[in-house]
Amino acid sequence: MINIITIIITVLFAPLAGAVITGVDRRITARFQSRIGPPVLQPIYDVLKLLGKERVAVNAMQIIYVIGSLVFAILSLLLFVLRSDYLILVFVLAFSTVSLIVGATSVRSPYSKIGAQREIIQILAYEPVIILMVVGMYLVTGSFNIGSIAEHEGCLFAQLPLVFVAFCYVLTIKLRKSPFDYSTSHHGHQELIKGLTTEFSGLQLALIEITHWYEAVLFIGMLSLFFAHPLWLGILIALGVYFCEIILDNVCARTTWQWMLRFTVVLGFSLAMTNIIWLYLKY
Amino acid sequence: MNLLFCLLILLPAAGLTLSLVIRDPRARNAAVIAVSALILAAGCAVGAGAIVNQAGPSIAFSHKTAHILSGCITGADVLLLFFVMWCGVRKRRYTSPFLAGGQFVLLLFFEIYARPETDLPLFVDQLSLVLLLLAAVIGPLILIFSAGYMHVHEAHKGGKSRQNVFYGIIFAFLFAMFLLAASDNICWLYTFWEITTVCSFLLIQFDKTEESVRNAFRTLDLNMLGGFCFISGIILLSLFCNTVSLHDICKLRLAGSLSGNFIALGIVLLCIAGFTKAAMFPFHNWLLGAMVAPTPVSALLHSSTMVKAGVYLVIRLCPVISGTTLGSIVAAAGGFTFMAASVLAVSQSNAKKVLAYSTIANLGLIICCAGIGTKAALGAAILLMIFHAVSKGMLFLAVGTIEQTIGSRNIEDMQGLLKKMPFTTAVTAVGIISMLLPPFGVLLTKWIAIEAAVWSPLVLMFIILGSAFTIVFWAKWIGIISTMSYKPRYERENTLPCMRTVLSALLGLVLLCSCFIGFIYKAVLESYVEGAMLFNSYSESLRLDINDMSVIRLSGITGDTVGGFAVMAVFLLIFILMLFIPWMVSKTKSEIIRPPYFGGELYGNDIRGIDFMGPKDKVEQVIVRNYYFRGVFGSDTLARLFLSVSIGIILIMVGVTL
Repeated sequence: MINIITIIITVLFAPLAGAVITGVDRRITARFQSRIGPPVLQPIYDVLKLLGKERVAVNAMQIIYVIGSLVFAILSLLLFVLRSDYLILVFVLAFSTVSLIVGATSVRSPYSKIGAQREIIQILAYEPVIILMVVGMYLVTGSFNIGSIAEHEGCLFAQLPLVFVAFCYVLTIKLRKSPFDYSTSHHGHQELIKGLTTEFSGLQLALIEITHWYEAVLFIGMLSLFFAHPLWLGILIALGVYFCEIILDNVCARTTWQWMLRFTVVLGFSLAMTNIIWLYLKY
Repeated sequence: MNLLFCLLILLPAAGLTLSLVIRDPRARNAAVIAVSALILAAGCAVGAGAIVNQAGPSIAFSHKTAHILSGCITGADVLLLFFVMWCGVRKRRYTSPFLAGGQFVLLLFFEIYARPETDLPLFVDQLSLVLLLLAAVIGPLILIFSAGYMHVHEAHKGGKSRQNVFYGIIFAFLFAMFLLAASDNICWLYTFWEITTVCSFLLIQFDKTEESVRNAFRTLDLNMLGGFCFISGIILLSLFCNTVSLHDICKLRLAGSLSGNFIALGIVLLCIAGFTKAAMFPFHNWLLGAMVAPTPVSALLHSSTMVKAGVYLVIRLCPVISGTTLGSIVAAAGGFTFMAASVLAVSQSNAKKVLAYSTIANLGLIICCAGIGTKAALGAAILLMIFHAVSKGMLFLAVGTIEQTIGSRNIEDMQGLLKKMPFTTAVTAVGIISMLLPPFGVLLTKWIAIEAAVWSPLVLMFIILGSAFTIVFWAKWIGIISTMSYKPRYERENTLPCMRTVLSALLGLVLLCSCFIGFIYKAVLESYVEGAMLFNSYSESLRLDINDMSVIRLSGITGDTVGGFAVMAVFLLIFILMLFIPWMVSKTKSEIIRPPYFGGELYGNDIRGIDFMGPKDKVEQVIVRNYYFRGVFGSDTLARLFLSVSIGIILIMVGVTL
């Protein structure tokens, strides 16, 4: 029973929280650029407006892939709040992204196809680091269950500082923020138009936006696991990290994917692996 | 039960005779299909019987019969070795005759000095049952598929029909495979092992082109090397343990130092034999070359069954090596193969090559699990063996069908395939998804493998990197075949009915296997894993438990749960989505169709977006290709690096026992 209530609350309120996070993001970004910026609830207005737009599509299958992406993002968030297996969560989240990629490649558009190829490269960069993070948490807590990880006495960050840094780093890639916004460039009409999302509009784009909200909440949750005692502190720190991501987003120019892969091997994978090795020697 | 099992073994022999004797192609095809159906039925009956009785069939021999049979089988082996020598000398390729000669000398030595007197039975336990059923279910299906495929294949190629030889060899292969699975006597196993090698050799050079002959000999060379290691291992084990029973060998425990331990060396040699058959790095080259064979051969021998004999042997030895240094090295070798093959697959655009690399990768993962050697890992290894065989068999056949229709096996040419071949494309897509995504079995075993490997960082790193690269090459492929324009006019596929039936059957099998992972584990594997790992305290550190509702649970040594996943629940969710999405689509009928965005340079009013206005107002076709990173992942330097590292691992494996 309590599970069902949790599920309902998560499905209903997580996107709202995600929307507010996105709204604040836009507001802060605007301030960086000496603008006032839209109201905090602007993302919700945007999505409502997108939902009301006329239905334009390039092919009939697009919408299926978009829904797939949304449903599996929701499922991974549910796996999180229901305290299921962390590693399975990571795989389900990957499914969500793959579904979007297939949606983007299903149209004959060079922009969205190249965007999708770049997104695949981004998966290649962040997926190993996220799995290493889960493994690191197992080495400290002795469990892959999010429940046991959250209840673990003591601060995970103290044991996994390098993994935390690596995770923050790959989060930038996962959130498609600068300097790693290859697959969907922030600003339209660059070399890639809007990359991955070029061919989505109206309802489809609204669903993609909602998917991002769920994901934002999930990432805050994943970050706060590092500092789960007390929970509010964890969430606060996670929000702080998110704020740093926004700053980074605004001060960086886009790099090339080759650079990203090389840099990820050093800063992401090696850092996390170093941390894992010392944990391994310790226990 | 035993009678049924005898029938199952004899049916391929009947098929062999029929396909060689009957001259009329139609009658022959009918006979092949009928015998295949019978094999399928007998296989299912044997499987069902074994599950109901909780024990597989076993045929005991009297001392005298065993003696005669052993003599026959050794004789067959000698003939086989001479055949190999003859083939090699005739084509002036001397590596395999040399190795075959070496095997002959060792065999002679073994027969004279080292053979212990035994009367071991044919015996099917749960692990053998898995291998047996894979051959007995997928084998006939692929034979039925070939009845259609080979007809078209030979029509393309021209020349005299040699289909009778083709079916004959495949029946001979199935015969050897059934006996290989059931043999407890490791000398018999060795002979059937060699028969499968020769079948593979003959089928690879079936088309008689220069390339196919070259690749066939490469296969023969590497597998003869494996056979050489095999017979050396048998001699060592029978000299120092005085047994040739596979089950007795599995009860050995390598205690203390491995150094100077001849029993350990024998086990290592058997492992290397398994590695060659399973196309592990550095022996992987033969499997890539084997892709020149007709596609049903690739599906049957080079991904679903024959290569599984290699992993079967290593999985058998898992209780022996579990928890030892040897186990760690085997795990590292398997993990390395998984990573290296996945990396190299990224640069391939040839669909069969991608499948071949992915096969190598998955075989590596199975062997890696066997090397990790906890109960959970052993369970995962056997489960992956099943899932991989079914999915990969289906994918190969789908690619074969596609190739016959579009005349290319290049992934780039599969753009817009959904329109031309809706059914086969759907099958391919499901196949790819079943190799990649939750809740299908392959991903679940990958998940168990990662959770089982947490205490060995090197292996862990290999598996994690490999699994990331796996996503890359599958996602690229599925992206290509899913490309389509708005509401295309689907064309009718003119695939032959027998090919279509087989693809549907395999599709059903893929879904069933993943849905009933709980049943498979409970009914077949659990008792094997528990029994094989008896008295091995190391293996207790991670246990696998799958209940009837397919909720997978992993528990540590104290019984506390360390991870879990409800497969059924996710399948249910996907099922609901499958109902929900078509409903959504029917709701979205009023969509306005637009061509894709081309920066305003689209040519004409065609909404498919095929042509655009290029420089100087020239009309050009839109062609977007995938990234293949040939400069990085396709480079010779990388391939050579992988090869030398893997040779290093094999040398280390031998070195620790010296």
